[in-house]
Amino acid sequence: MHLLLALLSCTQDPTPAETRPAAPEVQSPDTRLKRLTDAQYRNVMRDLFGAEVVVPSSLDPDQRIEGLYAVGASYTTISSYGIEKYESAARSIAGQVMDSESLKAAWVPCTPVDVRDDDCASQAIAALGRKAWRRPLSAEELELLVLVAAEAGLVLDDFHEGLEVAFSALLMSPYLLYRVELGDGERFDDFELASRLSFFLWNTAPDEELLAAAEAGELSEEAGYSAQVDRLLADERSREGLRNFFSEMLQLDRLDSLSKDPTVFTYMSDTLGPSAREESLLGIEALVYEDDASYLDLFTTRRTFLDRTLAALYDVPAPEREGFGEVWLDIADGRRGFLGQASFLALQSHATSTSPTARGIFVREVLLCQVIPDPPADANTGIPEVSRDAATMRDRIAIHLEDPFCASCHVLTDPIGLGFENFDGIGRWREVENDVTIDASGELDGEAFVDAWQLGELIAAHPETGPCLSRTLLKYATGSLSDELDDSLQDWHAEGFEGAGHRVLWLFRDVALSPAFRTPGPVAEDSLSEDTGS
Amino acid sequence: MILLLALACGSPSSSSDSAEPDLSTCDASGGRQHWVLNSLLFVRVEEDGSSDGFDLDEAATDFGDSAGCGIPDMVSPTGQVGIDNAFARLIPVLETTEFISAETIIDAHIKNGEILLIPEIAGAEDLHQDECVSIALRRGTGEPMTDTSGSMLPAQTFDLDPEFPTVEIPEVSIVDGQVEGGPITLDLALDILDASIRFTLLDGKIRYQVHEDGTISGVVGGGLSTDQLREVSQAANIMDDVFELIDSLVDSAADLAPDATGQCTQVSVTLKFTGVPVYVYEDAFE
Repeated sequence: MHLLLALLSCTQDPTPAETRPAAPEVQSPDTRLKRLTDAQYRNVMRDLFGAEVVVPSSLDPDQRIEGLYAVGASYTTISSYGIEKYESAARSIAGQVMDSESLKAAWVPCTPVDVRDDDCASQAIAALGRKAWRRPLSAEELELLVLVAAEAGLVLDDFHEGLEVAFSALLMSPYLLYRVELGDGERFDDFELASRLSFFLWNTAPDEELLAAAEAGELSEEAGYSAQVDRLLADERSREGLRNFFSEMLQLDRLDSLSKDPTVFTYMSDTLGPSAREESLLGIEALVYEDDASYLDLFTTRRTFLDRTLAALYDVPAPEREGFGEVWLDIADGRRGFLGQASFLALQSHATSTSPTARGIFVREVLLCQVIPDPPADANTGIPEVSRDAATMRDRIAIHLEDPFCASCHVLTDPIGLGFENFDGIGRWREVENDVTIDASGELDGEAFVDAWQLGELIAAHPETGPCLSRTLLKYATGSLSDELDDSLQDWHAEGFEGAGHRVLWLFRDVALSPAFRTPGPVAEDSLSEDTGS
Repeated sequence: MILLLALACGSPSSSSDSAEPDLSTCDASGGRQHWVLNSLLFVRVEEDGSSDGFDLDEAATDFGDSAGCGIPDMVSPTGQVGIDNAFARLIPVLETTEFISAETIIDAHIKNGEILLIPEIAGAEDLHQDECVSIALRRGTGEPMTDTSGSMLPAQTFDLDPEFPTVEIPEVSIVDGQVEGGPITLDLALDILDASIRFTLLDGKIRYQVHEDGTISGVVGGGLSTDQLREVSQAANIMDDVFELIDSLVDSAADLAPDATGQCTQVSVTLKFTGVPVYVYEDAFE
C-alpha cells in the first residue's frame, strides 16, 4: 500500500511558487452582474447596522451552478417574488434603524433644523449610500434620494420618517442587491476592485479602509492592491470568506436541513446537521490558519473538533461541556479527515441508508473536478431491498456494476463510495450490516484500498485533488463557469498551488492577484437584462 | 422532578463468589470505564420459584428459623442458596395496588436519563478478566441524549454530581466479565407530583456482567426498612384499605436487621438493571 501511495505521488517535483513563470496572457471570462448571495446580503446588513438588526429569515433562494452559489449569482436574477421580499426587508431594516437611538445617531450625524433639511438628509444618505452601494453616490443619485426624503418628510410631517423612506430606497436598490463590477472593457475601477476583493476574501462589503484606498486610487497600483490583499487575508474577517467558500464547495449549508429517519439512525437529532457543519469548518480553519498546512492534509488528519452531540456519534469522550473542542482521533480509529466526518457522510446518504453512489459522485465531482453524467431519465435508481442473499449495501447495489448499461457510470462512483460503508447514513462507525461483516475495500483509478482510511490517503495523493481546489476557487472568485476560464490559466494557478505546498491561504492570495480576477472580460450580453433592475 | 439521588458506601469489601483476588498481584493500572443505567426494575420470583439476588445476611434460612425472622430464603436461578429477596414475594400482591407504580416511575426516570446512575470499573486492563480493579456507583449530571423511544444512547459524555458522596470499592476482581462488590447503600429519592418517595437500599451489594457488545446487566440488592415502605405507601396516596394491607404485609415479609426484640426491621429487595457504555469528563474527577 505504501508503495502505491508513493507511486501516486511520484510525479515531478513541483516548481516552487516563487520561481513560477508569469501568468499566461489570456482573455478574462465574461463579466456579469452578480446578485448578492443570501449570506452576503446578511453580512452586509450586519456590517452596516450590527448583529441586532433583524433580517427576514426567508429571502430569494440562491441557486448552485457547477456546485457554487458564487457562480449561480452570476447567472440568476432576483425573482419578482424575491424583489418583494427584499423590498419588505429594506423597509423593515430602515424602520429598525430609525427606531433605534444608537443606530439613528450613527447614521444621522446631524440635527435637522426643520421637517425638511436637505443638508442633513444629504449627509446621512451619502454616508449610508457609500457603504451600502460600495461606492460614492453620484450627484444625481444623491439629489434624487434627498428629494425623496424631503417629500416623504413633508407628507409624514417628520424629518426622520422621510429619511427612513430614502434609506429604504437605498437598501432595496439594485446597486446594493447586485455587485455592479463590470469594468470599462480594460480595467475595473478602484471601487469595483474593492468590492470584488472584499466579497471574495470576506464575503461581505468593503470596510472603510478599503473604500478609502479605492477613493485614493491605491488599488490601481500594484503595491496598493497587493497591500490590501494581504491586509484582508490577515484580518480575522477572512475566516468568514474561507468558511463560505468551503461551505459552498462542500455543500455544508445543506446540513441545516438534514433529514434522516431517526428510527433507523438513532443518533439523528435537530442539532446533528449544524454540529457536523461546524466540525468541518473548524477543522478547515485550523488547518489553514493555525497550521498553514497542506490542503491535502484535510483528507488524512486525525485532528477534528467535536461537541457533545458529535462525540457521542463518534464514540469518543466529549472534549468540552459546551461548544466544540479539539480531539485527536485514536490511531486505531478508522475515522480520518473530512471524508470521515458526519457532514460528508450524512449529506451523501439517503434518509434511511447510505449511498455509495452519492458518496462516490461527491469524490469525483467535488474533490477531483470530474464530470459524472446524470442517469438517464428512465433509469430505475431504486436500490434492491435487503434479502438473505443481499444483506449489505455492497450486495444490494451489485447490479449497478453487473448491468453494462448501469456500469458505465457506476464503475466510476460505487467502488469509491463502498469504501465508506463502515460509516452509516449519518456517519456512525459500524463493523457489520445486518449481521454481515462489511467489506469496505475498493479502488480509485486503479489503486486498491481496503478501507476509508486508505481511501483518504489515495485521495490526498491523487494528482487531481490539488488542481481541483485551485480551479474551484478560481470559479468562486470570478463567478465564472469552468469552460469560461482559460485552461492554461487554471493550470498556472494549480502549478503554483502545488509549488506552494497546497497552502490554502497562498491560493486565496494567488487568485486575488490573478489577471482573471483583476481584469474584466467583455460584458456578457445576457447580463444586463431588465430583470436585474439595472 | 427528581430532587435527590444519593449513594453512600459503607466499609469497602469485595465478595466475588468465584474468585478471591490475589492482592499480591493487585495492579490497578488502566483507565476508567463507565456505563449509565437505562433500566431498573424489581427482581420477581421466577416460575420455577427461584429469584436472583444476594445472600445479604450470610445465612441460609428456612421457615421458622430465628435468623431471617422465619422468612425462608430463596435459591438463585444458578442454584445459589440463601438468597434474600423477600420483597419479590410481595410483588404479586403489590401489583394489584397503586404502590407498584413507584417501580414504573423509577424505571421511566432511569430510562429517560432523569436519574443518571453511573457504575464505574477503574483500573481494568481487561474487562473480561482482571484480578484487581475497583468499582463505584456514581451519579451523573448532564442533558441525556435519547433515541426516538426515549432510551439512553450509548457513548455520550456526562459530568459527575460533585455533591454526591462516592466511595470506591477497591480490590474487586473481574471474572468472566462479572464483578461483584459491597457493601453499598443506594438511596433513590424522587418527588413525583405531590408525593415524595424514597427508596434506600441498606447494606447492599451490586453485581453485573460486562457483555461483549459493551453493555452491562446486573442486580443490586439490600434491605429496605419497613418504616420507609410504609412512608412510600402513604406518599403514594393509596386508599386506606390498601394501606392496611401493605402495612400487614411489610411486617410479615421483613427478613433482615432484627432489632433488640428480634423483630426484623428491613425487607430484602433486589433490583435488576441494564446499562450502556458512556464517558465521563476527565476533569470531573479532579
